[in-house]
Amino acid sequence: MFESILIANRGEIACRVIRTAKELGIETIAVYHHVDRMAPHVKAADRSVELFGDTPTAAYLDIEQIIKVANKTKAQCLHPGYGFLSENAAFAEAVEKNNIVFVGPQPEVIKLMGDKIISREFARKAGIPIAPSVTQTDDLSNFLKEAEKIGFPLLIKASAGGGGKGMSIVREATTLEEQAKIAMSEAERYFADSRIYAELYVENPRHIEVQILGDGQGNIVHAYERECSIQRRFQKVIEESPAPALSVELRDQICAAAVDLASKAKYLNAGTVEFILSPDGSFYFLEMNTRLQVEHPVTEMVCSLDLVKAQLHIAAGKTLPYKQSEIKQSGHAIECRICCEEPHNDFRPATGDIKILSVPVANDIRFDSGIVQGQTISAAFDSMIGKLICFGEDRDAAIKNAIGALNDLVILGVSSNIDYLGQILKATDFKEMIIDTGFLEKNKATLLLEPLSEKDSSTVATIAALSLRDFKALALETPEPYASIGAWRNL
Amino acid sequence: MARSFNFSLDEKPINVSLIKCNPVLEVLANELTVNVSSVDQVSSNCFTLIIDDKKKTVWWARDDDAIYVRFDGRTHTLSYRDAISASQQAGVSDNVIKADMPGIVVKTNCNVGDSVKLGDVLIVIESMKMQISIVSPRDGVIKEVNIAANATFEKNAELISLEEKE
Repeated sequence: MFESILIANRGEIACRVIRTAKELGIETIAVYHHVDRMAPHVKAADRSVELFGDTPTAAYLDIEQIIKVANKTKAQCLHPGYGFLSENAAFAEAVEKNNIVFVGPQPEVIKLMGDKIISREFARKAGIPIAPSVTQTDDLSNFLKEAEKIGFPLLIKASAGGGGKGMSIVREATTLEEQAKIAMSEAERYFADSRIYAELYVENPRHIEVQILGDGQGNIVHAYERECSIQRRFQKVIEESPAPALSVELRDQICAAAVDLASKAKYLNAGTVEFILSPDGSFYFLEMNTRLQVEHPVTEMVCSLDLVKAQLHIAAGKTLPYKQSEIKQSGHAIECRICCEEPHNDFRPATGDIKILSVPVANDIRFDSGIVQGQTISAAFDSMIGKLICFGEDRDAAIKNAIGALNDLVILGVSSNIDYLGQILKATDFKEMIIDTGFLEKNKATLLLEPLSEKDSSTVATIAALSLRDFKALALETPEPYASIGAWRNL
Repeated sequence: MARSFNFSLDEKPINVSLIKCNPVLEVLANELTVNVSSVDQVSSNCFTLIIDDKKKTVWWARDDDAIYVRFDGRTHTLSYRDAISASQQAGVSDNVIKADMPGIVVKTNCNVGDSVKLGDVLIVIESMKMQISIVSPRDGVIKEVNIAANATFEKNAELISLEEKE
């Protein structure tokens, strides 16, 4: 095993990797930008080194600087987490060139899967089902003509894309050209690559993905599927495993397709193959993520695995830590992504100080986060600050557990989606497994919190008054009766 | 006359006054009586209350004029009106467009002297990887543009000011 690891990331995923590395006795090295100097990942690591950059994000994206730190600290391996440089082939290459083990796949596989057009072509050749599509070459008018032939609705995506940027659904031929041009300019802006493609948009699709582990020689095991259909702006909000209302036959077919694809790519380390599942049971390859996923904990819970440990074992020794027959799904796990945002204000991101943080603790509840009480949530990074993952013997038990855990999770001082997540879990359609990627839009009205009753408003305002020094002082001016109720015992 | 504490909750005003302290705290909040018979501190900002004969665990925190309350599995943000200075209240005008949150300017769509209509996109900003369009709150003429593309700004920064049409 390695003696030291550099974690080229921040927030909850850096904390997550540090936790397992420590269990394995590996010295942990964190990197951070000045704004993160008090962050939990910096405190959790054995050592930490400051990165400099024009913006905080730029610091975490600075390949040269991070490699320099890794060399200086004599890190034997480097874990990229997710986001930032995790799927940057040039970064993986630079790491390996410096004789540091990259905890992830081969740079050429990152490159292959990172390009949506090339990876789709690879999947097609491997015999994996893909949705009918057309790729934009130099001639835009030809692309528009070919796209129209597929029919509507169409989904337009950036070839180099991710995170919903440059993505849109086109329902009518009249708006195709305009939306294609918008997608191209967005693609250029975010990925410095304006190429786009259009594919048949599956109505009411589900998003199912498969966790795989590979040894780089073509040997692949899967750790079953995750359901990731509850999304806003093409970003996942709630994930679960196993996927509800999925027959064993269909699940096995999807897992087999994922293994097949990864095997043909001679995939190394942990990865995820994503599929779109149509209501008619047909499924199509969407993309492969060549890194650990945000939602990996639901798989860890139902399969009793430590995926970071598996990643480190593979990176160190090239043998798979598990046989396929040893990986079993048992029970049900649900992950809720905790974001600082205003869900009922178009998910507008929120910033502020976390004045109060209180987290539920139980064996079947896991809170993976990179936050502490007193921390400032700035606009510099993503709005996701943590994940609440809850286990149950079956789906109903997991939902019940998660509703209770959300109820007990308190974050005050900055707006969060905690109450909104609770509304999703309580929705009838969610309980009855009527789920697709349009869930949040379709259930918008149901997901609104009931307006407070007059009585509850009065109660809440009374509680607010109790928090005021002036109010307390007023109450204490009349000491006799006050003493009699024994109120404010410890204030 | 009991002193009144003024809040707003979900954009509605709500006034709280202490009526009596014996045998329990009796509070009048928007004409409704709330009785508090015990306030027990659990941790720094967590309290167990007996409120209208029911035991409830509540959390509260304050940030300037904002008071956050966690009650019955819901989080509420109240604004404490008495803490907002008179000048701030008077300064609420739609002549100055301020930033709700810190961010970076993606592009500006307007120049000084431009006539704009209610709802026109004046600038596009990015915050936490999300693009947000800032629209004109009314018809008017652009008086000042205080930011340029790629500039960063803090919360409450004055981005653009408007004046009346000639």
